[in-house]
Amino acid sequence: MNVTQTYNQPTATGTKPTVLVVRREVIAYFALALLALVLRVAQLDVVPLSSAEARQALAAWRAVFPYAAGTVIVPESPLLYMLHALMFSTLGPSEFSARILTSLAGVALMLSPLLFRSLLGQTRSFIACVLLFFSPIMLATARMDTPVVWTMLAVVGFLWALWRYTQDRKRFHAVFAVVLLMAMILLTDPTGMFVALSLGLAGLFTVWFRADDTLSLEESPSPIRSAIANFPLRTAALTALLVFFLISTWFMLNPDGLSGVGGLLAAGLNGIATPRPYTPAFFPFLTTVFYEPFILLLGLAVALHLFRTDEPVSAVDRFLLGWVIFAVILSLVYAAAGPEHALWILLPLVGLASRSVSGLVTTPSRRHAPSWVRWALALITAAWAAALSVHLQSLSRSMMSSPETLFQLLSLNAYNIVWVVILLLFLLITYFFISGEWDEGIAIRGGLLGLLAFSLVTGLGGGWHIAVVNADDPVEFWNRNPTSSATIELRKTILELTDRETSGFPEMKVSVLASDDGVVAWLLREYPATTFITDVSAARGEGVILLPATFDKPDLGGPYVGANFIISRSWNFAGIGLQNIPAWWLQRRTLTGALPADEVTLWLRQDVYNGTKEDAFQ
Amino acid sequence: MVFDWLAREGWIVVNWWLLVTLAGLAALPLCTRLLGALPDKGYTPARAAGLLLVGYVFWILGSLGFLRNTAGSIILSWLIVLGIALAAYFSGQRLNWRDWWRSNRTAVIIGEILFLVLLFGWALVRAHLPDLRTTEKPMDLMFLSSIMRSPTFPPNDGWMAGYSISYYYFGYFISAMLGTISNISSTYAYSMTAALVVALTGLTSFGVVYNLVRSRTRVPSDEGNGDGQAAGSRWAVAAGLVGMLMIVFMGNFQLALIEIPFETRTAPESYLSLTGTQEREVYPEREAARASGVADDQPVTLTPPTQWGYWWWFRASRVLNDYDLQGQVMPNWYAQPIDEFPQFSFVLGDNHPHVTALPYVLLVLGLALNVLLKGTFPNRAEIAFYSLAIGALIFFNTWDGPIYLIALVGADGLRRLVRGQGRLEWRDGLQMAGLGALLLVLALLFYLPFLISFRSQASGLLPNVITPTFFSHFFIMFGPFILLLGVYLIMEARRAGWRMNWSLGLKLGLALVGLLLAVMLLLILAALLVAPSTLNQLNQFVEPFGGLGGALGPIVMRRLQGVPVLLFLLFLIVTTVARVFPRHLGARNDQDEKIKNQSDRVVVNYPPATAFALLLVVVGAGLVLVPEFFYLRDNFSTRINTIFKFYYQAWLVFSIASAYAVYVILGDSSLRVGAVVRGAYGVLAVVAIGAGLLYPVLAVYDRMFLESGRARAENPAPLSIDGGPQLIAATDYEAIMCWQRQLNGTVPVVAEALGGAYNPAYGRVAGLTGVPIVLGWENHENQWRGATYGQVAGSRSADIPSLYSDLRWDEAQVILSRYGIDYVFYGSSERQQYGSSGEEKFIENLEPVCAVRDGQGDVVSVFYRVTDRALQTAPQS
Repeated sequence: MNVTQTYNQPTATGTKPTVLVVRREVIAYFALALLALVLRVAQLDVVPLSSAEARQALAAWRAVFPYAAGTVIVPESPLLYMLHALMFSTLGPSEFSARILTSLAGVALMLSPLLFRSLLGQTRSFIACVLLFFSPIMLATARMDTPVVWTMLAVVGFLWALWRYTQDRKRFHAVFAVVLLMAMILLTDPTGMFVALSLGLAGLFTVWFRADDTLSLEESPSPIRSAIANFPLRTAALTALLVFFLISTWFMLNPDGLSGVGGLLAAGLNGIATPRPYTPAFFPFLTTVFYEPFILLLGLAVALHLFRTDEPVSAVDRFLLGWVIFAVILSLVYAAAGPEHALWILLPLVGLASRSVSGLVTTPSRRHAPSWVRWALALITAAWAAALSVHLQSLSRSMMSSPETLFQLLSLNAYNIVWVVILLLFLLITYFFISGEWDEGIAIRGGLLGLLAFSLVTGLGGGWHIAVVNADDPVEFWNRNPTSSATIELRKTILELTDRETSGFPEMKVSVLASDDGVVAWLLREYPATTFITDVSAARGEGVILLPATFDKPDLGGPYVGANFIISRSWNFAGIGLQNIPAWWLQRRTLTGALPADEVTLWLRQDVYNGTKEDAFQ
Repeated sequence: MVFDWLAREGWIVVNWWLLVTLAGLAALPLCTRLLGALPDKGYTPARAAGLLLVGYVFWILGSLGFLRNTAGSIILSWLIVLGIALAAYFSGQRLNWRDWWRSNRTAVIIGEILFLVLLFGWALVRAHLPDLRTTEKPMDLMFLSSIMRSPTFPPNDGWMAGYSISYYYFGYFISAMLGTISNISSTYAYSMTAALVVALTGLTSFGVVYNLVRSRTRVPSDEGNGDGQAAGSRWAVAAGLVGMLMIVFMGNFQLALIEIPFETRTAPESYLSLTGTQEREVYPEREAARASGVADDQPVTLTPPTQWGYWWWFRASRVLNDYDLQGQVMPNWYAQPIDEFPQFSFVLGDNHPHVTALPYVLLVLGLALNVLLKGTFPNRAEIAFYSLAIGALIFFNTWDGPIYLIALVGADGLRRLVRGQGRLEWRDGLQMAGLGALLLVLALLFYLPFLISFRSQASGLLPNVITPTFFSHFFIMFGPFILLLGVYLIMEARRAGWRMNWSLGLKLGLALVGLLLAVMLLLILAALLVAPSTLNQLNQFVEPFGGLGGALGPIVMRRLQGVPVLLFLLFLIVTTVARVFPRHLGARNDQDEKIKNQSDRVVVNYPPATAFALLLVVVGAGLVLVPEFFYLRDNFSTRINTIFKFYYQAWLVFSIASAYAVYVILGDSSLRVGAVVRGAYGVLAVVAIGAGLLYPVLAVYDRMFLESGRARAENPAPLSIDGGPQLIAATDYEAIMCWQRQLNGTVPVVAEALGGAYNPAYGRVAGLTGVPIVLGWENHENQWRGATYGQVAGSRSADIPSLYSDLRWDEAQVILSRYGIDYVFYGSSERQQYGSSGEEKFIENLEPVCAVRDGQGDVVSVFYRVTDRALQTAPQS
């Protein structure tokens, strides 16, 4: 699998020529990383920030820019707080600068199985990376500026450092593990403490599950006990405390950043009982089922196998199994979990699924079938699945408009139905042919590989839809009360107004009846003269006013001109109707559209609207 | 009704119980390490220690700018305390929890039940009468609300916009912390604070006495781990409960000896005159009759407590009565001595610093006992913890700091004394002084952010020449302790026999009195030399007597009236010193050759616990003795506050010592005490404590059912611990609550009417919301800020009436701009005080917010929002 390129460099001293070895594996990882980077960075600034993202970003922006309007916001992710501040100080406040570092962290998270290459094996770690690369959940979370990405990165780093420490007993690894554990709990996401708890329980599960089996020496608990006994806890704890202190206070540049840790803890504890608005129960789990069904099935298959097999199970697989179990439990019981928390389940699930995919790829044929057979079948299956998908989509679309009788539906879509049947028959023939010619196993593995390939490709497309195409569409299952792209129009309007009235300088006075830590506040971030009011009467006579659209004709003390802008929209799944579910599932098409959930009206005083201002901006 | 209340507000009580318990659990590992010499390993003081530590971490990190005032910051502070405690716990030898449980399970179970019952019980008392109106409760509420509202520390002073609190506010701070994290308003948190202080004081006092009694047979070991034979758990628990009763519930003898005879008119008036307590010297109706020339032969009227005078229970805190040289009651009645005790404070319901400090004072007494029992010099961690606790007392209630620092250093002295077999070397004295200095310096360092901004009203010492305490007052105030401790000390003296070092006791006692007398005389001399005006005052003072020579006689006579108290205190001190410092063996058996060779050897034959109890007796006696000779100079220039603060602490230390005495005489079977003596002492204890316990029964009933009107009401209002709605006029309350909901975390500045102290109708916006007003109760601000008041307040007291009364908008604009006023409140007090004509300018130029109308439809309570536009625009009228 290695490609060796030799450069014979002429040297004056006649020393040995330098040999640069670039393995195909490296190229593959590099390509994956590059593609992942492109997918995560492209059009990062065209999607408006959600209310949660806006709150985090505003917290940092107000610390960086003390003249910013609004009260101080206690952040809920000290790490993100610091990173935002760093980016805003260098690149200015924008959607791109708010999200870019998390996107890069998403790339790192995607490549994280590489850390365990020697533990998982070359093939399995690469497969895990590929699965993560194509994962829609990975792509969507990396593009949405969520601290969960950092939590999971800390989890992976912690596990790696802990594993390394058990292997080489180096203090650095122990210290690194404790620092990352502390970061996971206190610096990244409010749910970090529960993730750490689930990891701890998974660790116990690893020791408990199949404890009666004969374990190999390296899997014996005794090295673990020895590692614990020799753990440099004091050094590690002090280093962790120092890192914690420096990061939360931005290296003492922002001392009260320590409050952010408190904010994180409070939010984490509140989240046990307080559900996130607009988000159904068990949402991370539902998100995983909805967007990663194939990975889930593969992971489930491995889990069942591990429970049923009589063979020894490696500590890695036991841990991954325990991790999946407790991650699923966490996703079911933690009330405030959102879609991004599906990462809790996804990472260990991919770890398990990679085991089965690895088996699909590497298990040899019993009857010595040529190696191309399984790939050929995989290709055929993928093509079949793609064609089938096209016709199923067509069918589902027609179900939306057709009367709900099977007969009429069949007559209207005979063409699609015939093709579905033909494709199915074709697939069956291919399967039986390969089974008869070689063996059944290679046929199944080839077929499954084809289905996997299809699901990965469509998953990647799905991820892009979540993150970009449908980013403001509440019909997308992922999106709960997403920020409307109309907010971009609102911001453009305000910027144009600023160009006209104050020569582009953000000195314009704006009165806003809205939360000072939400999307609207973010849109007005550069305007220090913004006043957040709680009563319409406070805006009387002001030049530029933003009020909730629910105020039909507010008494503003004179003539005003108003325009509505949608801030967010909502969609009710309950009203979808049974026949529309396939179209919604496959293409997010519905008959019942999204409705504005939050709408503001930009009111301009008549003289401001006319461009003959009096004293609005003094 | 009670179940209805529990259904509505019971969760708040449960919430506070849980929060305080969590704080205690966080501190428990640290307590096992630092209070390991106590028999319960620091379990009973852990809750107080936990609250103190979490509060301190939160406050210091907030004051240094690291934390904002949020629930999350409090959780982080808790986590930090837990981390430190666990680190300390795992860094040394760990506690055998199984043995600990076996040894202390009765105390743990009783302590937990006690805490829960007291917390719920006193919350229920508050739910019957959630008074926030009377005395200085609006002030307490203002501090609490201000701290809860302040986004950062030091917290804003709600009654002086632009400035932080200049008062010892740690008690309010801890209440605000619990209020913030339990997400309740300050009016609820106020009542919960009252309940928590009762419960925490009960638990901690129970723990101190329990530990004291259990360690009675213990001898300090060389290893310093305090292991040794301990007294029986059940007796210790019983003694702990007696101690708790004395501290938390017992009242003085004023009710039994004065109030009941007075209210029922059963005592001859001569009896009242003889005892001469405040406002109880004569029957008012008879005095009125005499004044109008009618014969004062009114009959005895055996009125039941339900018909007694309004707030009769208040008089228990006004026993001492100071007279001038002519025998007249001092003219400035409000500056007469205050002699509160804990149960009075609880019944009154003011959450003042001396009340909220109670659990922490008891915690420090626990620390002092630990110092003695541990037997070795405190290590660095212990010193840090002790200084943190001593500093906290300064922050809680400044006067307590030095008092208990002395007690703690005294405990170290006792430790040295016990280890040195009754001998203290000069080196010991120097090391004790060093320990005291170290604790003080560290305490000051730990609380520097508070101390640098704190301005005390105390400004030196003044001599007490003509107001010694009369024995009748002294007995009424401290009667239970005088009886119980007096007998106990006699028995200790008998038990010690020839070992009583009477000579040393007398020398030290007389030296102490001589020292205090010398200080008094020096203060007179210093005043004459430093302040020339003092001479004029002196001349005025002696003028009615024909000069100094003529006044000397009455002065000496007056001082002689205080001799009985002095003698009793000397008895306490001398006996204690004579017992604690035993005589040399050689001095008695000088004929015995064997002992002669060991003439330097002395023997300590009392347990450290007894030494500690005796130390408390001396501390208490000292606290009572000091104001006989001089007192702290404050705004009142009388001994009102010195008596108040010193007697309060004397009550605590006497209570603990008395509970110990009761156990020793009644419960310690190893003592050779006759059954008759034991029985007589038992009767004495029951009578003394029982007479004191009449007070809570009648006073609590009076407040819960009579004052609240519930005893007579057919449909009483539902129970609630929220006193906010009853605090002020309903329309004002409605407007303020409406306005508060719109604040969204901002802290604007508000103008409201300026009025007198003790009136809840003023300073109410700050009181209910914590939002600073331009100026609140003026004389209180004056007291808190001392000499700096004039500079701080400037012309506020003139500007506020002008803002409301002046009809000119431009004048108002100047005042609004000067103080950065964001809102002007116009409610019932403003209308009553300034009328409505001045409101016109606000109506014309400002936007009304939260206008509330009365039954006639007129706006009676409204906020006016001050906008930049309004301040910039020319007057419209």
